[in-house]
Amino acid sequence: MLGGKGPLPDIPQANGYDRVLLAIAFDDGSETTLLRSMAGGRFQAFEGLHTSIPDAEGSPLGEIHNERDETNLSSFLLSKIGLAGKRIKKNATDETQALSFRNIARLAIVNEEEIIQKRSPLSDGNYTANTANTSVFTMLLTGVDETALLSRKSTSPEDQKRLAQIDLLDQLIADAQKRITTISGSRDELSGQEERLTRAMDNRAEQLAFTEEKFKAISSRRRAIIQKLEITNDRYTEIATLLDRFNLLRDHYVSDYERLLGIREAGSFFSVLQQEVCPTCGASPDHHDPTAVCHGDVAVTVAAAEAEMQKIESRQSELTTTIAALNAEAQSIRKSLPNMRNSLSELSIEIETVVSPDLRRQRATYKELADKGANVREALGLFSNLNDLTSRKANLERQNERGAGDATSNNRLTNTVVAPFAERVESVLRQWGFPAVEQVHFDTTAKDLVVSGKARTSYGKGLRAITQSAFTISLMQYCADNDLPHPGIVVLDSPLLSYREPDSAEDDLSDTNLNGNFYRYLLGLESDRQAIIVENMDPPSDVELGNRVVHFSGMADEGRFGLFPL
Amino acid sequence: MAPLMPTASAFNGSLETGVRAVFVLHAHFPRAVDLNRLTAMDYLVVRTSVLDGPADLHPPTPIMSPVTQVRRKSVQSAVALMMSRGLVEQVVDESGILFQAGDNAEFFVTALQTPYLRQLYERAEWLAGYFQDYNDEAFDDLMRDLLSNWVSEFQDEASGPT
Repeated sequence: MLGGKGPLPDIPQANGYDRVLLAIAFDDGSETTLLRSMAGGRFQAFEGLHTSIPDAEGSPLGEIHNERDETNLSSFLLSKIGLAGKRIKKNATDETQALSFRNIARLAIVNEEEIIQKRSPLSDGNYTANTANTSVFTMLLTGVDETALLSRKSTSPEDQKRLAQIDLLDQLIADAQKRITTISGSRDELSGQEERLTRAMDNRAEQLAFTEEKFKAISSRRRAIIQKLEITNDRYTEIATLLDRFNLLRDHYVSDYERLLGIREAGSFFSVLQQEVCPTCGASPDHHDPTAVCHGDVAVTVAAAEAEMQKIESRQSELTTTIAALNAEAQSIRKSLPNMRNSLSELSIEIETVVSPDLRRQRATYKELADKGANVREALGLFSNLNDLTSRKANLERQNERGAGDATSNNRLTNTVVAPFAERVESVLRQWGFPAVEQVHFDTTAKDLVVSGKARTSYGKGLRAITQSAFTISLMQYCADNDLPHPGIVVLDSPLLSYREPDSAEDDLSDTNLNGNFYRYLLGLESDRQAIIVENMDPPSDVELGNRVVHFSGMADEGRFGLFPL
Repeated sequence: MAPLMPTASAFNGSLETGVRAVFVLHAHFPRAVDLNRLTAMDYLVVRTSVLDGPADLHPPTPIMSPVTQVRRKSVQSAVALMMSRGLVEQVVDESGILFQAGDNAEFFVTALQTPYLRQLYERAEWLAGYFQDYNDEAFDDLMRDLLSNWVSEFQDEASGPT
């Protein structure tokens, strides 16, 4: 409704609404109601304050600033606050542009994203607009614009080439800065982190090597036991086979011995029998040829049987010894096997439940650290890239300055200009009970506040929102108190949401409570100034805000539902 | 003492084989059997388990082949030796040459008392009872069924030089 460009966020609560009214009471006593379509476009202005669309035809106002035709919203609003026709500096070559209300609006209206941004409150994130934004701020603080500047266009082709390069570098620098804002921590912090990570990794690597050594040792012990177990099992099977065979052999010996006893007995009885005429050769017993087959050599056979029996006796005792030895070995194997199996399963359990998981865990941790280290190094790379870009740009700018002969216009945002403003911010922060405020000053290079020696952007999200709010409110207070032009309103979205009281504050009295102090401070604003706070949390109960608070209940039958009343 | 000659080997020599033949023929008496059947009996009397009879008199040998046990030639010379002491008689009729227990067989068989020979006696008796009703043809059929390659081995042995 102040000339911003759409589209508005597409939320279901907006369904059914098509136009917006904004009623404004100006310091000069005039009252105007603005009407605009939800879809954007031109405005209509009506005299007086209206809560519904007037029947009469309003006067049209263009939505885009135009210094030649003043029937636009920006010119209308600027004229109301005494800034009509002002010019601001556009770039390093002292070109100027007409001031638009949009340039001012962003110093008075801060949305919930901007309020925690890690950049100067002057910057809108677009690097090429920095000169213009700084110029607006300087104009508000001094009340003097840049109409006096004359453009100092670069003439030489080298200068133009360098300017083009500077433009490109500006884009690259803006990109790098944008990416750096996504990184948590400053360059020093990152360097420290990298060092700590390296130390941690060295440490982990040692542990890992130790665990791996342990794993290897225990694995090879397990392998050795498995091997030994295999050999022992093989030997046991072999012994069983041998024992089978030797037992059979013993049976043979026993049987053979018995047979030989039989042969000896049969032989002795055989000899007793009277020999008859040989039925085979017909010889009488007296003349029988002892070498003939039919003679049978019985006496020799008996002698042979006796010799065999002796041999068997000695072999039998040898065999018995051997069998006993094998049985003893088999028994000792049977005894040792459970022990070997036990130690094998103990080792296996240790490997599976202790050493292996340890190793896996340590490897994972190591990898995690390595990944983190890579991220940090990448972030550091961004920083050094940015440094490189900035120094290249500075080089080019130096060359241009030398080449141009006469110096660029002096920077009007000097310490003298910003010092009273910074004092104002310091006093506001003190009144709010901002933790440990010592001194606040404005760094004209970084174009941002330095609170207690620490750059504003180095504070956490919660304190960044508070300091951004202090900046915006102090700017309004400073301008109003010094009769300098300012819209006289501030709109802050979620200045307190991210802020948490330090623990020690709980014991303190309620007037040291920053939230309460913040609202109390706003209650004390003079009547020509207005602050609109959009906040998720209810204001502290000890601050008497009365009907200034509009509570969005989110419920259809209780109070106001939301920004859209249903 | 003269060096031991192969023919005088104690195991399965003429004396031991002959003693087995005398026990088998004594158990069969008065029945007479031919050399074929006597040779088979020489094997079966120490391997009675193949006929589901008493446990084998000899322990199993790792290489189990009937040919190592069946020796027609040695049975033949063993029978000749036994005949010289009247322990075996040779009977000749129209079916060929048969063998029968001799006059001295009864005395010999009852006189021998070592445990091995008593067990041999029991098995010979059991075998005789088992084959009481088998004629030669039925006996050969059974042997063929029991030991398919036994007969062929036996034939090889029979056709070998004496």
